Amino acid sequence: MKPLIKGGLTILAAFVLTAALRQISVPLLICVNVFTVAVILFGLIEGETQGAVLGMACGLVVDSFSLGIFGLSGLANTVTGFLSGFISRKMNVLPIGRLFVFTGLMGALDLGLWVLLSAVFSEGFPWGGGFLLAQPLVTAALATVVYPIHRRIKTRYER
Amino acid sequence: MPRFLKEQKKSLIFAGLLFAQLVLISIQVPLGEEPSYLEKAVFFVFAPVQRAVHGLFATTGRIWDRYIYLRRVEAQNQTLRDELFHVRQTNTLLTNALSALKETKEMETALATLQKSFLVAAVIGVDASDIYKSIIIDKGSNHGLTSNMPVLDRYGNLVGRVTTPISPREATVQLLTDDNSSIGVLSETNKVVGQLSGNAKGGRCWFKYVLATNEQLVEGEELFTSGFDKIFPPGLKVGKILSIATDNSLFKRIEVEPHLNFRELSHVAVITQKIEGMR
Repeated sequence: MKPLIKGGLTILAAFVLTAALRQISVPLLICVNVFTVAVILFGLIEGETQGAVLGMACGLVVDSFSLGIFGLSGLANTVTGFLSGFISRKMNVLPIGRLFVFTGLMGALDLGLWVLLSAVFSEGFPWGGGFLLAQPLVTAALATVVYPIHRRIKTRYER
Repeated sequence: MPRFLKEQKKSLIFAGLLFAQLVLISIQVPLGEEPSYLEKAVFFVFAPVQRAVHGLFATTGRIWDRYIYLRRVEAQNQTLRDELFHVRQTNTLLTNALSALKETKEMETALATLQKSFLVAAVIGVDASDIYKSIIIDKGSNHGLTSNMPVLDRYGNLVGRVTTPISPREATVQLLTDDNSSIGVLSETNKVVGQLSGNAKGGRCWFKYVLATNEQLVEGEELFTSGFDKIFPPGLKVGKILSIATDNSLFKRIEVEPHLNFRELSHVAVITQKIEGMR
């Protein structure tokens, strides 16, 4: 599948999942960021350039549905997508434990960058009683579940 | 392509993407609150997807409620019948009282105007990066919505105002809990005037510009819109004072708990009719 179509489908899937989560529980959206999970996984699977491009696209979609400054999430997601692809090429992140730590750190980086940029541009962010801090853990848990499934499906498909 | 460019291709693309976004951020300065064309385009493309997901969940929920999950329906029916009885009685009393005050024709016109003055909309999405900033509703410019129209919840409490981007079938509503919102409010008892803004920590607000020397406010006091901002009509319920603190600054630090409840925010009412002296 061409990277462009893959990227488009990934954004669409992340958007639909986010909209579906909203229907289940609005406060859940504070600690579950499907777009970050999608960006980290895309960087991991497709490489740093594709990760950065998808990060930018995902971030801009998030920003267009937010009253905050257009481009803040885009900037954070671009860096996350690029670094997730770049670092995963330099070290083996396939073992489950390492994958959890790596994706958790990437999730923390994305959140940290977004909070930092929000503070720079005097934008507020939802602490949600501290639930926001759980976002990297949830990101790591989701990515650790999805990535091995993707690898298994890919291996079976290639056979 | 020169060798250097080939070697550094990925880094250059990354730098280019970062630069493009910095340009995007900087071009917003002259635009102010007005969203850029790119932001509007992305909103227009993805808003129908959000509407579709909302529709899917609403349909599934309806099927579940109507045909599968029928427990407690009998008890619910009884409660609703009781409530309806009370509402009918109140309605009769109010209609009688109104007719005593006004001529029939005048009353009919007033009631017809009242019914046309608001539009009910379903909430189909929330702000993607901060749930306390904005919501997306399923009515847009095709339904006559424009910027700054006040939005209320089902109990008549203030939710926020319509803001851009507005697509033909969807619109964004800035919530009163957004730290960039500003609403003219006054207190119930002593009519202390101030401004209400979101507190950026999520879900709460600040009642600003009340002098530290002012001793007329008490915790638990109701706040209403004052109408001084020329956007929100006066008398709408906003929230309750949660805490009052004084520090070294000129003004008090007054935290407000808004009546807006996210768990019950499935439908809102947009006041579409222009009120004299507003907007």
